[in-house]
Parts: sequence; C-alpha cells; structure tokens
Amino acid sequence: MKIVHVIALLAGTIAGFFGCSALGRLWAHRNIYDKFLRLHPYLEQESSYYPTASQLAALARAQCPPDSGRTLVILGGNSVFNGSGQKTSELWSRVLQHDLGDAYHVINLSAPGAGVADTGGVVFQMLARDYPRMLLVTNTEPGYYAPPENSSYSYLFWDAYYKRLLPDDPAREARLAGQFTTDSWREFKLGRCLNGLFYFNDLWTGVSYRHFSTVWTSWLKERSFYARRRLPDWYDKRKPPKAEERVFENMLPGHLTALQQRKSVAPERFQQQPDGSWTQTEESLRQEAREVTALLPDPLPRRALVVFTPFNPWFTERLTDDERRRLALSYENGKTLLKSAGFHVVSGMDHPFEPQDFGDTAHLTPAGGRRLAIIVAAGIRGIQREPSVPQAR
Amino acid sequence: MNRFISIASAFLGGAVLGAFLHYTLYRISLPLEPFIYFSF
Repeated sequence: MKIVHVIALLAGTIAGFFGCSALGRLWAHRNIYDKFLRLHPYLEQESSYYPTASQLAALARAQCPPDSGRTLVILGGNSVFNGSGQKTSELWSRVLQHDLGDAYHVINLSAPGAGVADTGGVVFQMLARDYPRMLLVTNTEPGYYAPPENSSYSYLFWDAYYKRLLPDDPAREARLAGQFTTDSWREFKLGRCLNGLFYFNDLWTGVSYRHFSTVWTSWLKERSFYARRRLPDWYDKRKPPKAEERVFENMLPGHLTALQQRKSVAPERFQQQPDGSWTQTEESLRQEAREVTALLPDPLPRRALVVFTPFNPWFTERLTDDERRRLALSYENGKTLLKSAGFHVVSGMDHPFEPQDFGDTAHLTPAGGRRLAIIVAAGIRGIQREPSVPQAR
Repeated sequence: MNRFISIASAFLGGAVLGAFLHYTLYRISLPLEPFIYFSF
C-alpha cells in the first residue's frame, strides 16, 4: 500500500466519523417520533433503548411549538404517571388532555422507575427559557426525591448537562463539585461528555427508532432488530389488570411486604414518642429537605406540581395502626417539605381513591386514571390562577 | 483510472471504518443487558 492510500484511508476514517457526528447533531434537533403517547417499555431503557435529552426536547417542540399559544404541560414521574397497565386508548394522560382542553398540550415523558425530576423534569429544565408558561406535573411517593443527576435515568441529565442544554445553576455546580468521582461514574460521564461532542447516541438511537435496531434485548427477542417505531405500545398487547379482591389476595404477602418496606412506612425514618405517636427523625427531615432543593433550579419549582400518588386502600387497610400512622405522617411531611421549596403539591391520599382504582398496590386502572386526571387538571388550573404564573391564553 | 479507483476505495473503506468507530462509541457508552439490571 502506498502512502497515498494510507492518506486516503485516514481521510475517509475522519470523514466517516465526523460525517456521522454531523448527522447525529442534525437529527438531535428534529423530532423522530410518530404519534408519541408515552415512553412505554419499547421506548425506554428497560429494553435497551435510550432516547436522548435532545430527542425528547425536539419531540416536545414538534408537538407544541413555542408560538402555538398553548400551555405545554410536561408529565414526569414514575410508572404510575406512565400509565402502567393502561392501554393507549384509556391512558390517563389522554383523559387529562381532554379535561384541560385545547389551551393546553400534555406530553407524557414519565418512565417506569423514574424519579420526580428525571425524564420529564430534565426536558422541563431544557425548555424553560422558550416556554415561560410551561408546567411540569410529576409524581413520587414521600421520601423518594433522588436528584436527576443520580437516579436510574441519570443518563438523561448528564446528556443534557454536557450538551449545555440546562439552565445555569450555581447551586447545582456547587453540589456536583467533588461528587461522582468513582471510576464507574467517571467512565459513565465520559460517555455522556463524548456524546455531547459527537452525538453518537442521537444518531444511532434515531436509526434504531426509524430504520433498524442493532441491539438484542430479552424483552423483544427475535423482534430486537425491528425499527422501534414498528412496535406497538407494549401495554396494548397485555391483558389489563383486574381490580378484584381475589387478585389482590393473590398478591399477598409479597406486595404487602414490599409496601411495608417503603420509606414512607418502614420505621427507620421515624421515632415513637412516649404517648405512642410517631414523628419523623430530624436527620431524615434535613436529608429530604436537601434532596428536595436539588430537584430543580430556582425559580422552576414554582411552575412544578408534584403529585403524591396514593397506595391502594385495600393494602393500606392491612397495615398495622403504627404503619398507617407513619404513612399518613410521611405524606403530610412530604407536602410541607415540597411546599417550603416552592413546589405545588397534591396528595392522592387526600382524595377518595378506592380499591377498584388500582391494579396492584400503586398502579392505576383506567378508572383510577380518570380519577387522577380530574385531580391533576384541578391542580393545574389552581396553579394557573395564581398571579405569579403566566396565564394560559 | 485504476489508481483513482484504488484511492477512492481506500477513502470509502476509511469512511466505513469511521462510521463503525462512531457506532462503537454508541454501543460502549450505555449499559446494555445484562448490565442494565445492575443500575436499578
């Protein structure tokens, strides 16, 4: 091989690599999704599919352009807000869109296992400057306030962070300094940092959605290599959960034990007073106050509504009196903590949910979804009536 | 002509290699099964 061939090979390698990077950068800012309703399991990390922060923001921009005159409502949160168990035709966020009407546009970016400010919360931060009337509506349960940089969906935060798509936040920079210094974190952050330069996740995730996937996953087996857009919403092919006492009884004791181990029920965060009542420990309250202030930079909490989604009363009735007292205290303390950090808060425990609203301990049936939509719509209208939040047109 | 084709082939081969390197970064930068389950 002559020197000219070596030069041609090197030039081709550079052109191929940077050509792909340019394509990825171009694609990152265009919406790739058809008829998007939610991040069902074929569109999120459970099936080894990682939509990037840029792609989710481009999706929101395409569905509700900043000059559309509609108020963008971004849904974040976990599988309860993701509508786990609900088919697309009965998805609670579609009911919410119907209840709110055309002045609003609801986009559901919640994901199974996501924290209160993950997924939808990251996109909410990215779009904050261009959408002054936008609202974030997200859910969690008391005691669970993992910051977006250190959660099961932290790849999205770091993707947006290294692409410089998040608003400036000196408090966040001070918090991140000196953290995430282990080898595994460095490697993980290096991957996100390189993607911020070369956009390889944006390109190949786009290819996976539009054309063909190159990643085998046990969720899809022989269909692993299909373009993700060809696959139906995962819940549309599943049997709907039955909200029957017999079904709940079959979930015992596993689901009840899991409930008893949740932070809002387990005794670790509490201390019992001489009169038998319970209080939350000062240490856990301080810790949670720190976590809550790390969720979103100021002044964004004032445009965020956090919903403490309820537990199935069929299961909570089977807790001991002390466990129920700790649960009630957790919800009250959670409301106080979030409100003091500037968030709007709605507690599902303050509303009359019934066993038939649930498919298990926490996930909602279509009937429960409709009830949730009514509560959330009222919460959104309540925020819009406040003079400090720009009004929907 | 042959010289041009061989240089162009080297360039195209390099372009494929560059695209493959780009794709490799995608594959190694995110947790895939079975590693994904350790992140939960």
